[in-house]
Amino acid sequence: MESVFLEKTTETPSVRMDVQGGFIELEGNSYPENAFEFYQQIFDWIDAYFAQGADRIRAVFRLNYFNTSSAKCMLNFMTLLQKYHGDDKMITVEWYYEEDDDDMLEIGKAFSVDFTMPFQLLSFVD
Amino acid sequence: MMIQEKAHDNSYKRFLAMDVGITIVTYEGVCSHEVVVQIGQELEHLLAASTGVRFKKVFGVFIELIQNIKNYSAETVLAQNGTECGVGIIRVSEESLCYTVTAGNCIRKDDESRIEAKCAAVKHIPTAELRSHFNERIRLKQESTSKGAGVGFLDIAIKAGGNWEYEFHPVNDDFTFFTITAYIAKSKIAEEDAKSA
Repeated sequence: MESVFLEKTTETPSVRMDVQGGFIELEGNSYPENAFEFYQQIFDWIDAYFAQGADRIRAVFRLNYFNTSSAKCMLNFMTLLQKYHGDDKMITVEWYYEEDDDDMLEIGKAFSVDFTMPFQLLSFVD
Repeated sequence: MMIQEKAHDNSYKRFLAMDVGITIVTYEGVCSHEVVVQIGQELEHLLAASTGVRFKKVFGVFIELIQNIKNYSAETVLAQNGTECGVGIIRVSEESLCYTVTAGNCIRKDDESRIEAKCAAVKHIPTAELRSHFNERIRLKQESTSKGAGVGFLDIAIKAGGNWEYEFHPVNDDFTFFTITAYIAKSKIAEEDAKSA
């Protein structure tokens, strides 16, 4: 199993999927032409990562803006991570929002309430 | 399908005659993915420095509306990238207290009542409850006709703080021109004022 890095584009975030470090990190904008297709490759990687015996992952979201199709994908992302969270696996989520960005904060808050895995809301100043 | 009608031209003329302040960007034509990205980039360049975090709301509404045209306009052409894309018109403009994003495109007359009902349902929701509706909606299974998450109007309403409107103008027996306008206050204070006005 290999680590994967997807370069950032104007409309897709950079995605670092790191096997050795045990983390996945997204950074940038997300409004791809087909969000479901874009995120499926990440979900497939996560499934493969746990299938080969990993017992933890730290998921870091540093998103600047995402459209509504991507919001649905974020929900699917959280649902997938939550599925792996349990007795033998440790999942942690870090959700970053720019200070005063109430849209990014509120959607993070809703996720943090919905899911039982450890979920941190972290503000940053651009 | 291209719609060559005098009434259709009038829809665009009416759109351009709307008084929404100083124009920052107007685009009329095919809204392919490449166009979405290109204009989005220009908008970011023109606005991001001056508006800070409020810019994300303008940008978000712009992306949602132009992707709506791309996916749902009844008028389509084969774009350079080989995909069939929607045709429409979109404008971002500035007034003293807010930015305005307006989008217009043709829809099938048969779809008017369905879209009208969707808009009216969102318009009916108190501003403070928009987010919880959004969160509920994205958790529901996607509607079969929807290429996105089916929450576009809710997202626009949230970003505009409830300050948005829509119109339908007949084009001919088969088509209607559908316009959405969202007003994004330049500050949180201006948004509160707009609500109480």
